[in-house]
Amino acid sequence: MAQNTLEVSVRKRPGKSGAKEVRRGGNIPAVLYGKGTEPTMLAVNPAALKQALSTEAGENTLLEITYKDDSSEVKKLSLLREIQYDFLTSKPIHFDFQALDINKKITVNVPVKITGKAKGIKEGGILEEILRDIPVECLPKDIPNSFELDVTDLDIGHSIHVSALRVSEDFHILKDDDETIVTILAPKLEIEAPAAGAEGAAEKAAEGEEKAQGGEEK
Amino acid sequence: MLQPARTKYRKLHKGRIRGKATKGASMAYGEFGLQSLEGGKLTSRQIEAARIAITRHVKRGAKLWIRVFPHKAITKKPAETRMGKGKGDVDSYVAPVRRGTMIYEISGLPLDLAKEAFRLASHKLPVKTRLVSRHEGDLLG
Repeated sequence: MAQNTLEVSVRKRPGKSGAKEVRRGGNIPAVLYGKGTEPTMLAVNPAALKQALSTEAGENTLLEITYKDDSSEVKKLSLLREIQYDFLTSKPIHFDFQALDINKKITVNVPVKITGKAKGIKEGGILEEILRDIPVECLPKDIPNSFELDVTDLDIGHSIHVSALRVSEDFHILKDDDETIVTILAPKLEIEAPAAGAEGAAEKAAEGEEKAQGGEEK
Repeated sequence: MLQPARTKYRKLHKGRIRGKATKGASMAYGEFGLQSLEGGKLTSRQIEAARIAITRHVKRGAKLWIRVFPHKAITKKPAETRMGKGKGDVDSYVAPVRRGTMIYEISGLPLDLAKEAFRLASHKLPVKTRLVSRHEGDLLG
């Protein structure tokens, strides 16, 4: 369990204009909520948050959030639940923090870390990560930092399933054992689903296009 | 080339492409993506040309997902035809994209190769694009 502290400030003005005002000041609007906790609007310094999360647990680091509320200092143990990103710039625009009860189980997504270079990749295969996070139910103090998967012996066509993960009595994995985490695909550039409906229209114009395409590929 | 196998209606209204993408705007499959920064119509030829550009550059050893499909029929009247006499015949199919739409996703290759492949692909497309990486979103960008 990795834990850190984070100092934040309370923001008073709700809504879009209030959030924009916070962003103009260089901070990012956030909210803290949880069972038995009154939802509180916060303003977070992104650099301070980045620093607080720079532990081995990453985004699953437990954060002791400190803020001043009506002249009294409040401390809440919380977990970063969601980061909203701007869809065009990928910059964070809002954070969600969930206040935790240290004695109650929670569900968190634990990242999968792949180590080693697979045998299949050396032969030209493609490593495909199907599950990048594994949902786990546990007490906040038992959150695993990550699941390490060694893929060195993985050959083309082989996969690693959830059943291969290190299990512990401290947490419960919320995925079926037969779900694939990582697989090595045969060395071929493939196109997924959209190509399925590619053929078959009887439009004259489309036929013309197909002919043109045939020429292009040659 | 991509085109619908069958359509409910042969000819569609032209429509307008406004606003930002709310669906298909995030990375769903791959490690790197090519995201549209403006609205426009990608013809099936352009989608295919960009796909070929990517495929040729990365050769083999990558998996590509095409996240857009040209569902929309575009009609055109023949050359030197007087106006009227009804709507023209179907000429091509396009995929309307809004700003933010993820056009391609790719995985199984290093960043520099993906960057160059998508740069080549972007020259085949009528919209401004940018490269998106799954890793840049980690830990607040």
